[in-house]
Amino acid sequence: MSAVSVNDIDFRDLEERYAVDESLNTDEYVICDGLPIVPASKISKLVKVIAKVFSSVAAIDDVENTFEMPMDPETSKTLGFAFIRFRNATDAQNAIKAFNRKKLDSKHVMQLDKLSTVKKYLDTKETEYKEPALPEFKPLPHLKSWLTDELGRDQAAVHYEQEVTVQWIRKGSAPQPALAPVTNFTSGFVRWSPQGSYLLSTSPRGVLLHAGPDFAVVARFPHKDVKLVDFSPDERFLVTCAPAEIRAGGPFTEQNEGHNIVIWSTETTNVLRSFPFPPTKPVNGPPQWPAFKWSADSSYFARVFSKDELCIYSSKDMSLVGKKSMQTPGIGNFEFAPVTVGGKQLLVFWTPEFNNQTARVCIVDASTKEIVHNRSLFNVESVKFFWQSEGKYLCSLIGRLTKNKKAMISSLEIYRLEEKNFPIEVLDFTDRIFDFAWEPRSDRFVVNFYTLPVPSPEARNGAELSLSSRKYALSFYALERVKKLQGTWKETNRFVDRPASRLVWSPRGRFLATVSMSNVGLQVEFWDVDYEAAVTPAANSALPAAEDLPINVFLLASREHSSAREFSWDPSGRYFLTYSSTRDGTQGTKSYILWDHVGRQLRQEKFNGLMAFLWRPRPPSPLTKEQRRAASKKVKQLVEQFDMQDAAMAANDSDDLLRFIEATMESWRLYRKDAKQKLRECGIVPEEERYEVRDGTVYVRRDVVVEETEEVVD
Amino acid sequence: MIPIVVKGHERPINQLKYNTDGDLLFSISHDRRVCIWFSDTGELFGTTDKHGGAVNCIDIDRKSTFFITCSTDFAIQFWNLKTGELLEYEHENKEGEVVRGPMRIKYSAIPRFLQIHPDENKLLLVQDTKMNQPSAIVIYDIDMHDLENPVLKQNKVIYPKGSPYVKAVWTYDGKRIIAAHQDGSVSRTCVETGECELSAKVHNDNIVDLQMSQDRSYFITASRDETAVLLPVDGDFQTMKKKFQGDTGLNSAAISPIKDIIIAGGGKKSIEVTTSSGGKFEAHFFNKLFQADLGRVGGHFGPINSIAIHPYGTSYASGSEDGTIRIHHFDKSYFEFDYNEVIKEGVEDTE
Repeated sequence: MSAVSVNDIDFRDLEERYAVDESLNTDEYVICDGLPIVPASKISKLVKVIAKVFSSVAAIDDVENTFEMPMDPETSKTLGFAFIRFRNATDAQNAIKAFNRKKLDSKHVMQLDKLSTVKKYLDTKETEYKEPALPEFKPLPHLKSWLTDELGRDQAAVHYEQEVTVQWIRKGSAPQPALAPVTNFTSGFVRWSPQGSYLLSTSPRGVLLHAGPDFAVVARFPHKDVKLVDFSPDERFLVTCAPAEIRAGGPFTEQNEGHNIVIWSTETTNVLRSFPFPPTKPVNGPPQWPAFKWSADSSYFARVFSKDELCIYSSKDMSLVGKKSMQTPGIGNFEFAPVTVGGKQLLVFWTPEFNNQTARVCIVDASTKEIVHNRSLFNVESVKFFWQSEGKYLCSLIGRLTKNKKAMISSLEIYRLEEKNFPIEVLDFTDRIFDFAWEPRSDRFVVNFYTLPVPSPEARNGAELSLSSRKYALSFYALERVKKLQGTWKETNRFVDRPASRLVWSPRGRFLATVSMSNVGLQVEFWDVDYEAAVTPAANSALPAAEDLPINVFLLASREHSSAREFSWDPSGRYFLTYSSTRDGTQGTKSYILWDHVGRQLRQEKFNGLMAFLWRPRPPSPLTKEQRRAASKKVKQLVEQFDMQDAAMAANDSDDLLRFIEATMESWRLYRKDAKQKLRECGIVPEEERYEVRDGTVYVRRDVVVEETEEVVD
Repeated sequence: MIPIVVKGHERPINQLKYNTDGDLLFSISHDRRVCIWFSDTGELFGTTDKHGGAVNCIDIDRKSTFFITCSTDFAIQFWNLKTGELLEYEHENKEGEVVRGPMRIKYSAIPRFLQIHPDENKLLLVQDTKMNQPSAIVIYDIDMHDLENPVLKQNKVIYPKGSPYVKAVWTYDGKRIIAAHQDGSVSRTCVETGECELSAKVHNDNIVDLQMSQDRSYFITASRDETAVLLPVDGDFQTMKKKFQGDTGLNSAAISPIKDIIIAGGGKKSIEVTTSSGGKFEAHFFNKLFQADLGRVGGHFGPINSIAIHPYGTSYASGSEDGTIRIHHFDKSYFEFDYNEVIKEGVEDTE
């Protein structure tokens, strides 16, 4: 056998046989990492599971040839990854989009990459790790600086024409600018974050957050053409929504393509997750907003996805709690509790009657989706939920049709959440309830409903409701105290013929504003439920005040603001604001009126093209109940001090005005002094010296030519 | 304050002007007529109508011997105030012969505005851009001491740097011109060099009126952007700027010589009146120093086109699109009113 040089061997036939087709399309190959490591015997079972997972987005015909799972020869087990060949590149793309970084089971998260992507990184020349340049650290401005105001004033953002200004509001005195008017501050609207740390503005390229004493830009979110925004209650998350679908690029990856709603982290400005519109969104109509409701501690958020699914997401990993949405056939609406109740993030929803099932009201623990309370109801048309601000009570306002199905009657069901098994109290009404409002941090509430002047037994049965004789009524309810024990809710005061379409409690409680809207404007009535003087029952109060009920209602004032449509309490409950804005489609001069909490007008100001007047919200008070009680005891001593401060302020205001008058006149005098000098140089008598006004008569000084001589000079 | 309402014109009033002594009030109108009224009583002194088009502007000499008008018929006419006839002067006709004829100077462009120099030896004329003519201020030397032999000679033409001129007025020293431009800017031009010293945009819309204070040391402009602006002649057009916010487009504004009061008037354009409610055809009173809104005087049925205050400040007249003139003699309470005292009292009340 003679030696043959390797170079002489003709390998062409082999090369041809094993040649790699350069044109081979690697786009349809996907590497799936993070799979469980299994022995050879279980490979086929695992393949089946995975094939089932992917079958929802891509058709897999030939399971055997689709998956290739390399083995470790030493352990004869798989290496925990697989090559998957899809029918075409689109299927591969869809599979990555749908299942990348998704849980296969509780322990395994799939990591999907295109083969071409892996190849790209293998081909890269750079092998050394280069530390990316960190952007220079910029300290954030003091986000809560406005709370340190010595006078304890509140701020408000005013948006008019093209300009935005932030003002310090203090009683009737002229507002002091905290941010001087800025032209083109925003392209669409401005919003405060829920705790007041940020002022949000929009631009065609995205939204901006402003913060600190000088409202510098602290964060940018490049979501184009945003029309709607929402914050989580703790301000850590920002939700933006734009009508145009997102394209990859900038902060968005291919995963975000085609979506409209984005959740951002306000701290890092990263995109956390994006969503398309739910299928319930009306075509061409605005989407339901806010898109998500948030739990009190912002750890969970939820939305109704289609009519039969409630999706609860955890904000920790931005994924569905328990990987699945809740099946809630025909779900009406849902509300999160405003505070953590017994360490749980509760939410309540209702579903109507469906397939021989009764209508249900369910209270759910968001962390486990466990239904902690379930109540069946009959003949229900609508349910609305009202949480008491401390989460002690939950009221559901239930609407039912009368027997002849012509009218609606309402009832209230109140759940006591602090007691075991949530005992329920039911209050039935003979007619419709329009609005309901809990007093903040209290067990009292107020309802606005239709009633007959004298409730007759027929009306109670729901028959023969004569619509014309119905009257609006306002009722106050309080929890009865029997020997210091809680009793039941009792109606304490009823005021008939009080049209009020909205009931708004002062954020601090005790004071209530009832607002009725009409074409001409707003009518506002101010109420005090802890009136300190004795109240003789008013003529239209149908019930005498009960002695064992801790309430004393008094109508303080009745006010009107024509052409106004917007109203709000300031976050400290000291002022009530009504204003007219261009939001109703009309242009021109708008005005706002600032009332105090008892309905005295403090200030009225006109604004051209006023769009919004937004109070800066305050974060929840860090004081404990005991500290609050101690502080309110001290008020009486402090009143004197505050009064003096007010007097000094008023004097200061008028001093300022006098100084302004003096300065204006002085500057004019200085200018005229200069002008007179120049006029005299030209031989002109200044106008001030031409006339004298005495007793309504004008005396004119005339230049009289005494003598005129002419000299002829040769 | 009961106004004297006089009607002598069939068409909109263009300008009202008092003579130096204030005994006569001149009104000119689109109806080609000049009316002269006794300002005290509103009685008619006389009318003339020798123009072939709407009369655009009028000025009267200090001794009230003659007056000059310009009109859309391309002519400037010199009148004897006593007779109401045109003056005659010697000039060269088309054939080059020296002839004596009526003092009617035909012009290549529409003369829009004119004003006699404070020394009465010059005449300033603003020509319109209509008929493809350039906007310009033309200055004439005049000698009218002998009404039998008046002399007129063109001295200088000044063209605007930017936007066309609307109106132009002499300053107190007679060496400079303040001009208002169509784009809302005002400029100060030196007559001798013809150079623009300073220009500043003070309005967002067309300036319609420009009036000097009586001693010609500061002026006021009225604009369609609903504001009137007061500025000193000297200075940078920034310091001592006072802005008066009306509630409708302004056509005219005047300065009272005896009180710190500005009267401005205007109204919605005739074409807009039918489409919106309320024409706001009111004279609007402002405090000159504090720019405060003091009150309004209504009565006209059309936009106010011109406001003139009596040289002694005892009355004012407003002329309207509806052709009427309303002469208002101020009451005693007007002279006793002191805004400064009022606001100071207001401050004391609150304390």
